[in-house]
Amino acid sequence: MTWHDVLVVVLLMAVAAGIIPVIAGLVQYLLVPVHAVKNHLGAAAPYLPRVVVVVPAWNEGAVLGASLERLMGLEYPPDRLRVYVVDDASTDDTPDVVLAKAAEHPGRIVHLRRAQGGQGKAHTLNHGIERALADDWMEALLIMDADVIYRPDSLRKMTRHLADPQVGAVTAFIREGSGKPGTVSKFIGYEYVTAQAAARRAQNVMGAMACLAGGAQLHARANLEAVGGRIDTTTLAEDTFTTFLTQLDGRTVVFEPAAVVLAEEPDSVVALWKQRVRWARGNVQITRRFTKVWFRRPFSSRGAGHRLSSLTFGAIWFSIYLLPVAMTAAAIGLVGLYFVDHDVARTTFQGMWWVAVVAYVFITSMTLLLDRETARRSWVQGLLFPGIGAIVVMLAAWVPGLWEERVPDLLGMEMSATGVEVLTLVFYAWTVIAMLSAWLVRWVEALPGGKWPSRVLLYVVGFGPVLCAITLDAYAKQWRGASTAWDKTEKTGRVVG
Amino acid sequence: MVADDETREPWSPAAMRREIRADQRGERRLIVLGLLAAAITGVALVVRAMVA
Repeated sequence: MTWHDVLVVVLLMAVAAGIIPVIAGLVQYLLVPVHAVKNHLGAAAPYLPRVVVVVPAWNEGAVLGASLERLMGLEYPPDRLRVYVVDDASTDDTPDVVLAKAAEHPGRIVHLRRAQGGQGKAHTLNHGIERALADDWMEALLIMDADVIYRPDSLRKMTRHLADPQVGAVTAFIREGSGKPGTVSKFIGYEYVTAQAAARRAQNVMGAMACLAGGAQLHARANLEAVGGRIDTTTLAEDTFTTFLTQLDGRTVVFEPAAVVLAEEPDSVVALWKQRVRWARGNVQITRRFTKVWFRRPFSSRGAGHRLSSLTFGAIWFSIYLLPVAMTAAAIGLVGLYFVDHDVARTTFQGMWWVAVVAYVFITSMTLLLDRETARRSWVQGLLFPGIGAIVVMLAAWVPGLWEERVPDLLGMEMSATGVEVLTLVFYAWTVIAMLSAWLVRWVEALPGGKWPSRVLLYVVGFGPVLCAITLDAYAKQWRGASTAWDKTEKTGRVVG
Repeated sequence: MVADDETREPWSPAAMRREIRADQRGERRLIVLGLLAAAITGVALVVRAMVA
């Protein structure tokens, strides 16, 4: 074996690293139909515990009234539902809104005010949890965000799973619910179907749940007490931390896709970036905190009481966590092969993007079929989720010579040799080009008059690469030890449901 | 914690059991969705073969 061969093998392995996340995503989606026969509904039963809903609120006056009214209108025994709004030293009319609602529904809505706020959601929640645990009334605790709108049947569709004492917590399906969603909100709406309606069904099948939704998670009292009677305040991903603790303690976490709640999500790239960097930094913290869990125990971990150590779950977790690394490795591999061996490079490029195309078509089809409501609103964003640039690259792999020969022929033109080389290298490096261009999308949006140009760029670059870039940004911030001060996402009350 | 069986409230045990069965039936459609998505993917592969 020559050094040339060794180099080719190394570069091929780099490209293979880029395919792993795509295959992991496909495997996850192949598990979704299995949920038809492997779900927790068989163990669910009519069960109506006394529920305390804890709503953390800092300056949520614009959205809180509607949320509280929806909670009071839930199809759930009124004498078994109480709401504790934990007002985190709000400076707007949040206290007035809550007190007005409390007067309308005496004994059912309680205003808890923290004199000193600004420590973050987890601290605010703990204030309410402590109050709920102070007596024996509460049998289950629902954590939600102030802007989330619950459908009338959502709560009892969650509580029915707690009839099984093995279940520690249940999470609902949060759907993007803005009345007139903009481009970014529509992308998020589609992404939520992939990340929740599909991915969490797959996790139900695997028996390992990555994260309880922050805006809609129901805990059995026993579970809450078992994880210490409070939410973790040492990471930015308190929801994921609690999810892991629950399962490591031998309890199940269930995703209930029929319990639908609506939430307002960011409608700008800047706001999305702020929100998702926080989530991604939290995931970096979680990955490190639970080092002893990953792949450490026998893959068939039933005896261990949890399945977080399974190969499939770990592969899916790290595929998302290391996605920027994978995309960069693939680009380096392909560009390297271009300079080392043209023929191997071309074959590898086509092979890699063939896998991507098959995954794209299957996943997009499945996602749009899975949630018709979101499909009606966000089908364009679904089709263009990877970006127009990526679709051009997919077509280049699927139809060799399309952009270098066929299209120029149709236009009566001819591409120069240099042009072909440059185009080829752009295709080979697209995964990195798209990821880096995401910063351009954010920068352009912040300029005066930059909103519409940034939206055009977003469609070209792709929402997927933007999320990848955000993960990269999160790594950098964690590496630098940047401040972990809570940076709240602003809500304006756009949810209609 | 379990409501009177004879109430007509949507949270009565009978209503909740019907709801569980209905949602269970709803999940079974995932098999059809999976087959449809696979069929669409197959069509894409066929189209590609014809174009190439």
